[in-house]
Amino acid sequence: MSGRLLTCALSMALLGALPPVAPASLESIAALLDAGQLGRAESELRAVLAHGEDPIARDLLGVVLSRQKRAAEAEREFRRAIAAAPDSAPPRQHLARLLLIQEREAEAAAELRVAARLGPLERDLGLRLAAIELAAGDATAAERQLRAVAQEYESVRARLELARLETRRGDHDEALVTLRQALDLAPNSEAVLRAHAEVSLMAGAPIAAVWTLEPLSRMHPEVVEYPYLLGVARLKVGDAAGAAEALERALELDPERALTLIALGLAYNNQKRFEEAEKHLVDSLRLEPENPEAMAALAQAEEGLGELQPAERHALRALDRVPDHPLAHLVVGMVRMKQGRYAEARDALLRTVAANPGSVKAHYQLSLAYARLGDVESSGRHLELYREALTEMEEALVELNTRTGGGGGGMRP
Amino acid sequence: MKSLLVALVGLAQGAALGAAPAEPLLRDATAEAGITFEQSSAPEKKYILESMAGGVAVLDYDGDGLLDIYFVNSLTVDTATEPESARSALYRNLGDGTFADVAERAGVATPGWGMGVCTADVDGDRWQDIYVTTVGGNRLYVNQRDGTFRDATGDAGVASEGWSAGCGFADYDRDGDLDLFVSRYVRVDLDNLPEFGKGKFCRYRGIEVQCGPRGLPGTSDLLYRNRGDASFEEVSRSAGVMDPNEYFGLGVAWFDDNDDGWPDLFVANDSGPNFFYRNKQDGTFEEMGFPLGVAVSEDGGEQGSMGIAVGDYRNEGRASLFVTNFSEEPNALYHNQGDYFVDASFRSATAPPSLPYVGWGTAFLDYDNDGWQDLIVVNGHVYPQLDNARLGASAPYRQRKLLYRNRRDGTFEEIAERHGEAFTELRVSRGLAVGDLDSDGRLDLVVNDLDGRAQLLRNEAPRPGNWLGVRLAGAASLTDAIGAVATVRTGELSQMRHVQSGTSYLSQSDMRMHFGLAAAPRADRVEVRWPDGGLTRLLDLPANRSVTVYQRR
Repeated sequence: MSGRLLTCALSMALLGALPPVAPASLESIAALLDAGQLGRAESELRAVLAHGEDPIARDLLGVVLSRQKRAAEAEREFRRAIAAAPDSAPPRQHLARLLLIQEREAEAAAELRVAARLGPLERDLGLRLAAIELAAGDATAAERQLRAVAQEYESVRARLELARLETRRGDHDEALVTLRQALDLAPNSEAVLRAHAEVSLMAGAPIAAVWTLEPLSRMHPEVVEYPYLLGVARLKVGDAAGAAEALERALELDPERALTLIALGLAYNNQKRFEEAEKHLVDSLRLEPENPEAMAALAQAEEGLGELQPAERHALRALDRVPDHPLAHLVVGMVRMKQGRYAEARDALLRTVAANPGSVKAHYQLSLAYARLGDVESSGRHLELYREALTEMEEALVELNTRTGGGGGGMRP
Repeated sequence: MKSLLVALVGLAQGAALGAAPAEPLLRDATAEAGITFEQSSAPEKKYILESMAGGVAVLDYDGDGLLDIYFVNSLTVDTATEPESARSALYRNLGDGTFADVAERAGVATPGWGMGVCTADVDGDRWQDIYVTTVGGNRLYVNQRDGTFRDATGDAGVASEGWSAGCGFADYDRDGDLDLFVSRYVRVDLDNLPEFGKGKFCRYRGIEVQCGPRGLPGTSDLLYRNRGDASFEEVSRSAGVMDPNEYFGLGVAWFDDNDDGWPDLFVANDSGPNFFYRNKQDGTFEEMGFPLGVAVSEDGGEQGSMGIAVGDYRNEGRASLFVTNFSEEPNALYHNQGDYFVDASFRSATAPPSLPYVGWGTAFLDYDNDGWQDLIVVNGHVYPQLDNARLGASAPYRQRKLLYRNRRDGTFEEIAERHGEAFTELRVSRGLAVGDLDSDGRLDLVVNDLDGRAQLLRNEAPRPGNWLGVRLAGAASLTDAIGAVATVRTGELSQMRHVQSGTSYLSQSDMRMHFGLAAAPRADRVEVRWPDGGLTRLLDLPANRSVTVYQRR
């Protein structure tokens, strides 16, 4: 600490901000500080100050007093150092640290804001100031502070905090850039890997999420969240088989978790394992009776099993809660297709693609519905959209398998 | 009232037949029949070329009224230059339950790198000819009526090139002679094969496997139009069935789905959309797989489609399609609604049991003669390495068969595990053909396996219903009446069959049609619609015999 203090002080001196002092004497005093000889250091500093006013020596004296728990005296010395050298950051930071210990956060923040303008804050103070700014509702200032700390200290924590703020304001791409920098610094950090996965999922980049969740779930096999997120990520790519494997692991870790049951039900639905899906989704509704995702997924399983009436009932219940739920509309569309009510099927499927324009199944079924209705042109248009969506999904699966060593699904190569 | 009558008839039949038997239906009679055929096989299947063969045909090649068997053999990459090392087998039915391999003498033992087979009387002499698809050059073996065949490939101009897979004859232009469709799979260069496990399409569930078919170049399909002078011209482009996108073609089935009297064509594509070519009655076709609803799965997924069965499983006078698929892609049952098909895979309960398996040969067959077509599928994976991998929902490399009992209500019950080792033995099966090999009125099965000996499975269903075998003898050149449709009526029950060349997986079942009559002692009416549209009606035919129906000239 004292070495750092001294370095700061000396650098200010070299910059010409302060009148030169005898480096040898300050160095020797700093050595005393390092050795814990606070009494001797205080005497030496007072001797220096008796020789003439010296803001650096006064700042150091404040530090010594602070360590001696003589807070009031320390504060006084810091303030005198600041008064003598108002453009010097260190005494302000030291004062702020003292004020924070005394829980005088507003005063500390004021000092830190000024200090931050003068130069980089110490890492912990920079993070603290960012937290204060955030608590005060100034996310921009917090981000600026975190970015400064991240840049100055290659701080993983600062990047994590920064990514959170970037995510909060919806800039997922920027957050992913920040998190990749954090991953470069700490490739095995659980917190960073997890944040990367979560943001990737939010950013609609499930392959990137899989890329981080695979090692994370291996490193921490006891944490249910990781195989769960891995399953969700694989599901989003279209790798239902890989998703099911991960989600089955998650379910073993916590059999009573509704989210896992719902995701596993969806994965089974996509694998057409409707009976297994139905069982899990019924379980999920036992845990969360009003969950619209569970209702829609259960409706899909029932529709797959040919149980059209309960499928329709559950889909409509989901739509009562979430009127534009794409899966629920898809189920209604499928039920109508099977009932031969093609116009109604078309309408439900159009609502599906409005909510989820990339739905392979909805576009394909729309092409069939229009064909049955004799609208060849619309049928062809949705066939094209279907092909585009399918190509996109297949490319994603290939990329996933390439990036993860083909560990995932049961797709025929 | 009609549906009530049907239900009552069904009940009566069920009572007569008893409940589904919980005893072996099929007995593996391979060894006692003297069948020792075993495909040449590369144990590791490092190349996709080594995973796809082969077909089997059931035909009466010598005209003695007994069904014989032709097994297609394949080479491996290591033996590619030694065609003699993989000998196909023609087993002549000796009539006493045994067979003798006469392939050498018959001249059909070494077609090359064999894949599939289809049969027909190509030259209209009333003797069955054999067409073998291969990697490198297909063979047309013309029956010389003396127990031998002549390789007429060159004269006929049907050699093809590259990797052929499925085949089937039909008179698509209704000019009175048989034409030939050949599906082709992957474009291969034996000197430059993709390296095992290397590349993004060479891994499965995290393990290195053979590459393809995705990532490998496909190849177009072929339609050979019969000129009527024992030669053919390749017309796939002008006819609109060339497959310009070069998907990976496998199973082939000609059938008239819309009852207009013109043969339509279905092609099962691996890892791509299937084709349904609607015959436009002018020598051309329109590909309608998507609008008809048979190109992909219900959710729009392209499937690894292999084999095809065509059958009127609901006895409603329309032929539906059953397609076998890769594991974790359920086999697909496309129910014919008249103007289009609907995916009835789950509604019919055929899909769920098939999920773990890679399906190949398949056929509709009424194994217990109850008047309703049941369904069989033979399975086996393509990657031997799979047994060392995470399996997920997939079964291991060796897999059991699936037998679906028709429940007479549009649904099926999968019952293989109730019926003995013939179904549950784990194998790596490919081709499947069906026919009554012992002439006992029960349909037997022949299976060509990729790894291990072939199988002759004799049907020993207890208390089967009555039956009627119908062989059609066409006039003029179309002697086996390929494309004809026969309808047999017993009481309120009406059953329909097509005469087909090809189907299943690269295989040929007996072209004679087999009708289960349940408890009915006779067929009230047999109606045949011949390929040229002519009709023949026969009334009051006693059960438990085979009849030949001749087309009036």
